[in-house]
Parts: sequence; structure tokens; C-alpha cells
Amino acid sequence: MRRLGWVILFAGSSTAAGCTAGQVEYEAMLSTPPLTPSPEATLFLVGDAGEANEERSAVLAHLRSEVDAASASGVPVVVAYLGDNIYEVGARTSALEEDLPKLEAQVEPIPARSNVRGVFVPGNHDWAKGGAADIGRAAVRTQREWLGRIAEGRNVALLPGDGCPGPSTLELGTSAYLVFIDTEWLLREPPDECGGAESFYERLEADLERFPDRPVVAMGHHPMVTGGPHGGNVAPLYRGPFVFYLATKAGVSRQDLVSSRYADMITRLDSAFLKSGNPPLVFAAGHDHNLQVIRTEALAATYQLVSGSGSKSSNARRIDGTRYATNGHGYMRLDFLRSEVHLVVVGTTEGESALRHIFSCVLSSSTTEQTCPEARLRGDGL
Amino acid sequence: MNEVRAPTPTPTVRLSRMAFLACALVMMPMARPQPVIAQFSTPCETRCALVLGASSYAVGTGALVAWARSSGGISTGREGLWIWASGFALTVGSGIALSSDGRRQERAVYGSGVGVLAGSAAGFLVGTFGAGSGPRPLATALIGAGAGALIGGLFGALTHDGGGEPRDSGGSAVPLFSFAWSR
Repeated sequence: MRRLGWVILFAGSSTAAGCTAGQVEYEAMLSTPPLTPSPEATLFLVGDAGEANEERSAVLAHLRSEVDAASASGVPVVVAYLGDNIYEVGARTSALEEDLPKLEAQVEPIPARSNVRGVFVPGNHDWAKGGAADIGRAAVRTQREWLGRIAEGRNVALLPGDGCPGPSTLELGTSAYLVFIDTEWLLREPPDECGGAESFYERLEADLERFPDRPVVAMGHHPMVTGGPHGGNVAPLYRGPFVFYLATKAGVSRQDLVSSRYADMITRLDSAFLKSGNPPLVFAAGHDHNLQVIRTEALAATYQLVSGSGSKSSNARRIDGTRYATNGHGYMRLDFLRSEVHLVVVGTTEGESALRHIFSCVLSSSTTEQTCPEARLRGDGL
Repeated sequence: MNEVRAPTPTPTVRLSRMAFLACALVMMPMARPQPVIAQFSTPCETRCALVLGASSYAVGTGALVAWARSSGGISTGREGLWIWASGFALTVGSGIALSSDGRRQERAVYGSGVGVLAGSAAGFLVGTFGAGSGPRPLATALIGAGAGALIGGLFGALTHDGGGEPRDSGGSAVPLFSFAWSR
């Protein structure tokens, strides 16, 4: 009987050890017919690029080449960095030599004195990764100051950059309307002089109503839906025997979607999007270290893009509405044409180290119904 | 507004405190050394120790989930680790502290084990009402398991009547410092 108990324990442990966080495997899929390479405006989305490593170097180098090509035609271009711009705890004046270069590398792909604008959105790590509110706010403001210092003729800014939730807005020519939100502030709601969460949501509604004839892209660090670790996709033995797994599933961390604070933020953002009468076409975020394209009817913003693998990588499983997902490093690109919005995912596929276009589709068209079809699963998939 | 300060100890009080401390330090080594008993001796042996470990795990995890759910979520891994480790250490320490009475220790530990099972089931049922899905049932199950471990352990320890098997021979606790004066 005792021996049977040990056998059961061993078998259970082995099974649990073999369980890994799921990663769906898609074939690369580019839109057919090929997308028109002459946009009126372009938006690049890069997230969680705050760690200095080889992978990030490759991503930023490829980004630079695409930015140069896009800006050559003179159309407005925005490069949006979706948070966690400096790992591990944001900008520290006491660690200038260590932290500043992480930011400088991300500024470098933005050409000086050009039609390219760089926007950095604060993430949870930029808020001193769970540190006290005043320390986090100081880190955000330090990052804003550093961006001003290292710009050297480049048009770069931290938006919202004052330690308040925003929203900050930007017109991408006449082609699109960009809205930037500090979602970490929304999770914390620290006592400060920002006017409180209610006034934020009122401002958000009002801003969305301004340009009803343009596609709106809202951006923050935290996604509203994800198949990555922050959406519960963790392995049972990750970071210890079941504790982290159970804690994640039970909504212990404020940074996970199932926590009450995060779920409340999603509900309120969605409500504001809906009430405005002009919900975003796209909500883009980072936070999970992968690339995901999700089309959902459950939220007001039709397309949910997770572009968080600028320097780190984590698995993403297939969830309702997933069109494409990969744990490879990369970024995304949105091209705005007169009557269409195109999406391109730039990353690596299995067995390859070089970045390339691995997924593309039409997100919206004024002439035809577009649903951005799902890529084909490789083998069995998950 | 006058600031209220605690009264400063007089020299006599200070001297008394130091004398008391000195006496305690001198007397402790003079206690007769006793054989050290195992922390988990008969009847509470390896199996009992494993149950205590599992119950402590439940208490730590339950405490973590309760804290996080009540405050909207923890912000850092370190904060979570502190809470979990505190709950775990409290329960393990409580179980070991009963080492002088093996039978009581056994009842407390197995009581906590039963409490984990009952508490998790009750917590799960509570969690499925209303919300019914999402993280709530798991969270309430984990909180229930932790609470059940504590309640079951207390019940087991306090309802032991102390009768039954005699104490283990030489089963006295070891003083802090101990060496033999003479044999």
C-alpha cells in the first residue's frame, strides 16, 4: 500500500512536470492578394523592449529598416513602445549608467528631424515594478526626463508622461487617431492630483468622440484579452511547486487579468469605449511577451493586439478569436490606407532566426467585410 | 501640543532588569541536560510530518489568496512570498511545538489534514454561487483549505484529553543552553 502511494506520487509529479504552458503553433500566413505597400500613415507597435539582449537588438535593427522605408515616402509614422521600456524597475537616477542605455537603444530607430515620431507608454515595470506609488511616479517622470535628454532632434515622448492615466492623444495625419493610456495607473489608482479614475473615463469617452470618421487605435501596456501567462497560461511547476500556478489561476496578482482590480479595469475601459459611440478598431498592448492577433465580438474594440516580445518571450495559447499567435520576438505594424487598415506581424518562425513578415491581414475596409482570417495551425496545434 | 513621551527608566529599574537578565543567563546553562526527542516521534512519524507539510502549504496558499483577493491583488512577488512563507512557517512551527506530546501532535496534524479537505470543498461550493466561474471558485477553495487546516489543527490539539498512552520517556524539551555539570 505504501509502495502504491509512492508510485502515485511519482506519476503525478512526472505528469505535472511535463505540463508546460501551451503555445499554439501557426503557419506563417500573409494576406492574399498581397497588401498594398503605399499607406497614408504607419504605426509600429513594439512592447516590453526594455531588456538589453541579442533578441532585442535584432528586433530593433529590423524595426529601424522598416521605419526608414516607411518614412522615405514622407507619410506620418509613429513608433509606439507599449510599456516596460526599462527593466526591471524603471528609470533609476541612482543607476543611470545601467538604465539609460536600455532606453537609448529604443530611441535609436527613430530618425532625427523626420516625419517619424516615437511614443513610449509606461508599463508596470516603468512604475518601479510594484514599488510604492510615489517611487513609481518618480520613475515614470524620470523616464520622461531622460527621453527629453537623449532625443537629440528626435520627436520622442512618454505619453502619458506625468504619472497620470491620460488619455494622451495624437492624430496620425488624417488617417488615424491614436489614444495612449497609462493602464498601470488604472490598476493602482494611487492617491494623487490626477483627478481620479472617474474623470479619466469621462475624458476617454470625450476624446473618442472627436474623430468619428477615423479609425481609432487605443494603446496601453496591459491587454484586455490574452492567451499568455497573464491570461492564466502558466505551467503547474513554473516558479515552484504549484504555488505560482494556483496563485495565478486564483487572481492573486494585480498584473493578471483574472484579478479583481484588473478585471474591473477591463470592464470600465470597455464601457467607456462603448459609451463613446466610436470604439477603437484596435486596442494594442504589451505585458505578455508574445505576439497575438485576436478578433473579439465580446469587447468594444474589435481587434486586440498583443505586441510584447520586443525583448522577452513567453507562450501564448489559442483562445476565442485568436487569428495568430507566436512566442517569437518581433513587433507589429499597422498601415492606414484611404479605406483600409492593414496589419503585419513581424517576427521569427520555428527554425529561423531572421525576422520577417509572418502574418498579415486586412483589419477593416470600407468596401468589403473583413474579419482577418485565422492562420492555419501547424500539425495538431493547441 | 505637548508631545507625550514614555517615562525614562530610573537607574534602579535599569539595574533590576539587568540583574534579572544576568540571572536568567546564568541559570539556563545550569539546567540538567535532557536527551533530545525527535520532533516527530511515535506515534506521529514520517506520514504525520508529510501531512503537516501539506497543511502548512494549504495555510500559506490560503493566506496569500485571501490577502490578495481582499486588496485587489498583490503587486510584487516578494510581497506574495512573505505572506505565503509566514503562513507556512506558522503552521509548521505550531505542529513542531506540540512535539512534547506525540499523541496530541498527531491529532492536531491529522485534524489539520482533514480540515484542508473539508475546507477546500466548502470553499469551492461557496465560490460557485453567484459568480460560478472564473477564478472565484478556486480562490474560495484555497482560502477554505487554509482556514480548514487551522481550524482542524486547533480542534485536534484542543480536544486531546491528554490520557491514553504515557509520554515518551525522557520526553522533556531541551533548554536553550545545556551542558552536563556532572553525571
